Amino acid sequence: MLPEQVKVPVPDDRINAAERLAEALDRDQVLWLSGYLAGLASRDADRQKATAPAAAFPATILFGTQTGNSRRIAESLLARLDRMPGARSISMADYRFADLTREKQLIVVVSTHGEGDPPDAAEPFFRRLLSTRAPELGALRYAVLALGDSSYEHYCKAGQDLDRRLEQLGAERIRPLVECDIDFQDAAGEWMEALVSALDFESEETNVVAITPRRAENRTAPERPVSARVLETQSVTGRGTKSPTFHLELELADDTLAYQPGDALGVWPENPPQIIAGVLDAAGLAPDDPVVIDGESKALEAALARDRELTQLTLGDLKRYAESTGQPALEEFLAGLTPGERAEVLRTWQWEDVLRRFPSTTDAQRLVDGMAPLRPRLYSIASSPEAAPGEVHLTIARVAYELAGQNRHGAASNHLESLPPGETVRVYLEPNPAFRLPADGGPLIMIGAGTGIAPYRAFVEHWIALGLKPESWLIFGHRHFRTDFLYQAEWLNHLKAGRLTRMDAAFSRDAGGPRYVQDVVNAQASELARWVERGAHVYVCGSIAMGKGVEEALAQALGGLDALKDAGRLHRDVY
Amino acid sequence: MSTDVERIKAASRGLRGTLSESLAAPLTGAIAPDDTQLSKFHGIYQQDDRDLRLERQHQKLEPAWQFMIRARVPAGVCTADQWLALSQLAREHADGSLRLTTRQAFQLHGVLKRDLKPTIQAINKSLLDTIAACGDVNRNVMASPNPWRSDVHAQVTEAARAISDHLTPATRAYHEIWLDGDKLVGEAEAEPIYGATYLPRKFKIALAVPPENDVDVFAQDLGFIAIVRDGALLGYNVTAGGGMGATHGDPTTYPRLADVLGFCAPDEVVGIAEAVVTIQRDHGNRDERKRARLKYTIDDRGLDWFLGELAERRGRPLKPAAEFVFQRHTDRIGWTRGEDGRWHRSVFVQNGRIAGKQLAALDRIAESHRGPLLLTPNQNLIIASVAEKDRTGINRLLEQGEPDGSPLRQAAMACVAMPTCGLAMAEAERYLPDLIGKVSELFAEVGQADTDTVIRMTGCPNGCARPYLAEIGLVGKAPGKYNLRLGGDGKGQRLNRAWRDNLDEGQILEALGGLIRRWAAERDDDERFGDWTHRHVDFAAP
Repeated sequence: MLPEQVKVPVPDDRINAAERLAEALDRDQVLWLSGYLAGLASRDADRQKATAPAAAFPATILFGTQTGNSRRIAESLLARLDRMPGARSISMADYRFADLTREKQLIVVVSTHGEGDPPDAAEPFFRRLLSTRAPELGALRYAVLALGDSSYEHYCKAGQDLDRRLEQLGAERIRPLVECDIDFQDAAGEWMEALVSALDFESEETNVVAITPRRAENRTAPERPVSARVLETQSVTGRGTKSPTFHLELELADDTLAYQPGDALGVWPENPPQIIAGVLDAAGLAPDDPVVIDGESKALEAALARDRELTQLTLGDLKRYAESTGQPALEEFLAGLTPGERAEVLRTWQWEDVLRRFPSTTDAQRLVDGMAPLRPRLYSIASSPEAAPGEVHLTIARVAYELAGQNRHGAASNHLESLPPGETVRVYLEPNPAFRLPADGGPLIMIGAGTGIAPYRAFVEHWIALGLKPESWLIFGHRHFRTDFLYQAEWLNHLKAGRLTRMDAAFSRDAGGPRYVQDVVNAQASELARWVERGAHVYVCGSIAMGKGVEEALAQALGGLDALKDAGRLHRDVY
Repeated sequence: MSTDVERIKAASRGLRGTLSESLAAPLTGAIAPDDTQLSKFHGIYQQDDRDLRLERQHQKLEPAWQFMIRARVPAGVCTADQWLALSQLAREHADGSLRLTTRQAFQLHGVLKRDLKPTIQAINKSLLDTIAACGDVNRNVMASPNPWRSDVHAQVTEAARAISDHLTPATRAYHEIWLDGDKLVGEAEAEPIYGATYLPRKFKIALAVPPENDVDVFAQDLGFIAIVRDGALLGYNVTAGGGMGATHGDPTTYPRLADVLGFCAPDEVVGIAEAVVTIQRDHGNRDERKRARLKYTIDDRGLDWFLGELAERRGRPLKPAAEFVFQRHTDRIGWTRGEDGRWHRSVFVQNGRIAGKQLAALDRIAESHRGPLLLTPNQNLIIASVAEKDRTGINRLLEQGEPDGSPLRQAAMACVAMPTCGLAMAEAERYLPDLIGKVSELFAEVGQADTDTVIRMTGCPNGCARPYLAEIGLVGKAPGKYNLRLGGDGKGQRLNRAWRDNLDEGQILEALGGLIRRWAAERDDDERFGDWTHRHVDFAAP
């Protein structure tokens, strides 16, 4: 099994034992075991390190990320600290809490999700830092950059919490907290600039080696998308649905986008013609008015299609517009809103609505200058690279709603649904390492509502393709059994063939039966607890509200979630 | 080699199977495959909306599973309260329509699995039921409708009820599953008449009162023709071995007219029914379902054998048959007066489908009239036993409650077919009205706009609308394609014959147009279209 010439630091009899063991296992079991042994080794290494003399880290950039933005900011900041030996960037998920007292300068980049929550992977760090077990940090200097989305009520709350807590623990603020909306690039850049000049670069004697951030194999990024070709667009909700949803199959040109089940796909949409027409009409501008975008001249219509965000507004957009056009009415309007109302406005208004309600005489260039750059959209991947090589499948809810009697459409979902087979779309991979199939092959409880079912389709297809049959329990919720049971035919087949152990479903708009997935969790509390006792990993995917409800129900069923979280067996993907 | 259905019946513990588990299974709108055979015995057919079948397959959804529920109405006698109960269920749990069947039963279509139990319970609360409305048992017992019309009709209706009650399965499974009766402990109860595996196939009984053959007595496994002299019911001629069903391209299957076996006294009908049912139970073909009807048992073993079996089981032979004369097998739409002076209004229902305005109008009639509503064997409805003074009110309500119908439309029948019937190969109910409009023009062109030629259409060869007895029979072969049959006698006593296969609408109209013109020019006085084609069409020519 082992090549002869390799010098092995293990006695022959032990090697033979290992080989006998390996022969008794299949490929996946061997792979799992190799990871297990590596884990044992690193645990021992940690023990050895803990007994070593304390050493100060000159600067640590600690990021908590859900979609990768915080990680990317941390990495570009690290690049600016090349003159500082020992500076490092590390995810909160991988951070050793005990190192906190050995930090000299701590720079935190963290995003906020759901009901003001930190990213899933950062949750254990937050819990410890906010608990009474947190140490005194009198020697620490720190700065926090908070990422958020102003269309949610608890904007940047995770960053605020951390900033306040570090101060409470005695640490000294290098720079005041900066909050960034979803158009974070400029604000983050300015923050970085100011921070670098305020950091202490003087090196001290340390014996610490910088930890290189682990690079994913994926070679795509938001600014380095690849082109994917539409293979098929298929509605997966039945006639009369109030939640139209479609299944999109994309073909990848090559292997630059290597994904795993649980990952998300970033998609650069184009604004659909009717949305552009609405903006042009509301602004009183012509499609071929010339504008300059990033030094490039083009027609206004083209800029609105591919360069500017027309459907997702931030508070910053509105404030900039109010300032640049001298619109006291808009400022007063914004000031008069409750946080809930403001979130509602940001969630439902599009640029057309702003331009119609608060019209101004503007020219094409000023219009595009006041608009944020087009942002990519993230979709949890619904396919397995093993089951559908070279393809990525997405499950996309068509965004369409009425605002004051006018039809409003989401840009990305409508653009993607309109693409005929053969058309291309620019995509990149957004890894989600916190949402992976259990490495221990253990049982899975997969809870998803609406399009939150997508990653579970990826999971199931993946383990089928690998010939695995983990004990698995899928809990799905949506509105109507008849029209909205996404991938129903597939699940029924998997259940019949024993490829999925168990499934429950809840339909909120049907009479009888459980209404929400959390109702299933409540009703099946003791069975769920038995699964978790047996080592089950619990996955939650869907809307923020759903995620919150499910976790409350889970906490009740399991008598708290701490143990599950500490064991790394609670995985969340909420949006 | 007995069939799968025989295995399922034998293992069903008195028709229970896993129906309760199937109903509770939340992830599918279907019931388990074996249970779909057993549910029929409870009056329930699993179907899917075939209009959506392909679409839902693409949508990665299961078929749009839904159920047809058939409620038994012996002799078609329905009270106003029963009508209102069914009408409400049609709106609440079905597709908004009530379907009157060619066997005087009600059908609800489009009922979802989760609504099955409440629907069945409500039907039972109305004192109708659905047990044995389908399945390998005796089906709804038909009779020339209207016990209020004459004393003889009342006696015939009573006989139909008695036969129906006697042949209802004894299993408590129905009560257990649908009506929350006590669960069976131990062995399933015995079925004294049917035995553990019931009949090899469905079994149909009807009673006719000449001169009307509206029940198509010769299309039944077992029939009774009332013999009436001077207004008194002397007894019945017994018929056996009729049946419509056939399979395309299989000459061992065929429609067959019943034989007239002999005569019996009025109080002998129940005993004869049991004897014939048990002959079929013991000797019917359990190896091949499409040859499992009584008509094949008789043909395979001979009529003499059958008569011998019957005599042996009854302990005596039948008496010689009496004379009888049938004049028609269609309904007369409009008012008629009964022996007791009360009035009866036959209401035209196109293809038995009642929805929208007609359903609303009939509901109002049921509410105000409070008298019985009768289902006819031609899928129409009779508002029975109306006092002279109430006729005007009913006429007024019927202005919204009855579709326009020429005699040609009133004489026509179509089965349900698409999109709910799993057997349909072509449209029937949804298409026939359109085709009749075009055929009407052909008759109008030769000055015969008021013809009552009997046209019947089915979506498959199984014969639910008894197309083999029509003057013009159209049997679905493929989407938009029909086999055209000609030569029924307008009385249900003569089978038509296959004339042309696989015709589309253009070919049907072209063929009929030529024949109608010849018929108009060549026929004897008042000779029916069916009689003329029977005499003159060369059925051998391609």
